[in-house]
Amino acid sequence: MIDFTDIEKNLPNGENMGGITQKVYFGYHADVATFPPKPVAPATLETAAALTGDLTMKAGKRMFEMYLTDDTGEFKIDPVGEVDGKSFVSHLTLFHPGLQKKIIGFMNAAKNENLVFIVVDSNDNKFLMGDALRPAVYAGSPDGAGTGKTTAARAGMSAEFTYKTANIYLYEGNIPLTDAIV
Amino acid sequence: MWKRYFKFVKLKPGRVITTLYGEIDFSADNIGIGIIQALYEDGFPYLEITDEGKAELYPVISEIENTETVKPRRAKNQKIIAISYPPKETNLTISS
Repeated sequence: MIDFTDIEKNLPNGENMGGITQKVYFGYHADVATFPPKPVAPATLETAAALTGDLTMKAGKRMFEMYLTDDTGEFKIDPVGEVDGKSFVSHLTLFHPGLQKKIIGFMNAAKNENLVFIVVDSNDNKFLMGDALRPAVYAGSPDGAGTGKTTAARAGMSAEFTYKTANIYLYEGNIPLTDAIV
Repeated sequence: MWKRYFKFVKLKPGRVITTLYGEIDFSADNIGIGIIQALYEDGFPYLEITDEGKAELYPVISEIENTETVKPRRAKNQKIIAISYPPKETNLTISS
């Protein structure tokens, strides 16, 4: 078992902003060459909380970035399961403004595909949605997708992606936005 | 400038969100050498140091690497195994 330790208030520089940054990073699950390994028999709480190493992509593949409107994105962790069978479902929700071809094409391409996301929160914590066994998948449009009803409304696409995982980990690697040539 | 000292590897030169400095475009020539060196020393997986970089930035290690195998004093007919630095470029010499 993991050794327990005291858990103090720990807000470096007093920082603890909510929300996520205005970009999320995504790719196809099938394009990932290697996922960062999960902790094996971690001895401490901190080592039990982080993946080690980098997500690497197959040759000619890369991760991509998507803009989202500020204060519309959220990364949320929901515990699920019965007694002795607890796990987590993480949710990424976001709103991309406008109904341009790229975002419509993305929704068409991604809706039934296995995906991976890297979400960066306002405190520079990174969360990887997807592992070697399970991908992130499109779950719907929680705040709608379309033109809006009034001229004062905001046209665009909201989207939710989910990832089922036994444990929650921070991702401490880099994010390659250029093609792998391995 | 930095490309004389380090080689960008495993990816096409371009953008990477780094853990230390956020987004860096490695196709640019004008990235500060201090930034590149800090990434390298932090274990950034997409940088390799060049021979010129070793000589300029890590001269002591470079000097050790370039040192000829020293022939130690030994008794007559004693077998000697000398291994040069670094281990991956092992130069095994056996003499009697």
